[in-house]
Amino acid sequence: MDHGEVTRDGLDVAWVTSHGAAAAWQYALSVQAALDDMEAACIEEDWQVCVESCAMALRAILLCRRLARGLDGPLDDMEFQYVLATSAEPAAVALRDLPWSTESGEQEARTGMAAVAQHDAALRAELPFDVPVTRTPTGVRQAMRISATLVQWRRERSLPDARWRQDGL
Amino acid sequence: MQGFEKSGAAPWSVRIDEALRTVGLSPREVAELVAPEVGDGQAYLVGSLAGGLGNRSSDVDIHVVDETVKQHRGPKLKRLDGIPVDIEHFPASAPAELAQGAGGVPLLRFAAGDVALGQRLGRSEQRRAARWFHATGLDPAAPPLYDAAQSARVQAMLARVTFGRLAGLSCMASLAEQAGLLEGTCLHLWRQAGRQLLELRCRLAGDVTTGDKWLPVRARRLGLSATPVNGEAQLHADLVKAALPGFDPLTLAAVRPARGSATVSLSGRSWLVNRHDRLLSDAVRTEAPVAEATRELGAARLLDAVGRAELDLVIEDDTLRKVFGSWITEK
Repeated sequence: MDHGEVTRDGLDVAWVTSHGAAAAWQYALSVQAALDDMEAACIEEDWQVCVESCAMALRAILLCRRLARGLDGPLDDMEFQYVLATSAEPAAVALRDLPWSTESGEQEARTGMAAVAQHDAALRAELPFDVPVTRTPTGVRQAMRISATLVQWRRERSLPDARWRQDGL
Repeated sequence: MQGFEKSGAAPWSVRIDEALRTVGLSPREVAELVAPEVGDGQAYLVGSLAGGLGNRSSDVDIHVVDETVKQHRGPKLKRLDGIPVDIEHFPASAPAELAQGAGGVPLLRFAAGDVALGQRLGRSEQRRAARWFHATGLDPAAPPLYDAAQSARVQAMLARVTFGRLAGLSCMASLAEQAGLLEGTCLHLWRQAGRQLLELRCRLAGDVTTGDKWLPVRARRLGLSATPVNGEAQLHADLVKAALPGFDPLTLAAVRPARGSATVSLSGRSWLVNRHDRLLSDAVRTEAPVAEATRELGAARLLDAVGRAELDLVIEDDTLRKVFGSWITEK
């Protein structure tokens, strides 16, 4: 069973405070940043950068999914590239379907953005909490409060402190 | 090159006022914001804006180098007119120390530019080296973080990173074809290899800016064509066109037991525990050139072992020395 799945029995707190949180914080580090870049490029009608940002978002979504499944540890470039090339995860399939950015225009960019929006929504629905936007002062404070709660829950259960990834993609 | 000018040290530089205008700020406003953090140090704009890139939503990344700072601190987030300003502190000696690592190392001196052997940069080091290469002082009188010789070393080190990725991805693409993997998988890997070739060409041309999304913009402003690569023959042709030597992808790569993995035993049964803390019962622990490992395991199993973190696919300096021996210059 996937511990991140909400079943009649509920979410596993150990999963929430370890792998679930790891995925959520990676979402803040990598997916949010890519979404911001995507929107900024769209506003500036820089369609090539927009498609590149879509690719970044999809890669980040796949990384979050792997973290949610407990696949943490150091990120090896060739290993991750192989996963991106072969994974049957919908976000990886969408990544492989993206056009070559230098041959892309508005239509390709908007198609890519729609795919990102779909896979982003699916990922957010599986994360254990709503991830605040950590590039804002309010978001930073919210993230600190969530983090403190997660640490407290782990200590109450005599679990060792979790080592959530600090670096993005 | 719009917005670019040659500087005495870095091959490419951008004026601080032009860079900050992208986000609607002036050097004076940013200098005032970061002044309490600077002390006796020097503040530099780094990242995409310093590389002449960015857009209205870009962050302002500031690195402060200071004699009194003993180790890296930060980032500390501030905001100016709603724009995030990230400030990090480094010892004043840090940029030179990073560049020094490439001093005295052999170079692959290709017609397109130099690739340094003998120095491997980690992820954060790559990012810092690239940022310091294009750093622009908030104070126009601030000296560049790298002189011309240091810039050349850093450029060659960063070119080595990209050359390794290019070779690794080419190898995986070639293996994927051998293994009969889906066409979409093979094409994706060839395209990623082609992307790394484009990145390498940018770096060899003096633009080492990090940030995947900017690659098409960087290529465009350097006048580099960027058609998608769809197979080995095209990659080879593109290499030659870029004044780089062609190579057989399978001869450059090797596999070895993955970092962070170990053999363990449980109730008399042997397992491999990989860097993701997964127990694998049927893992392989081969250490060999890819061509040899492929004969032993088959292309499909070899790729699977890389994907399961049983084996790491690596491009060793020793192999590059052997394959590209005639291009080596000992410095």
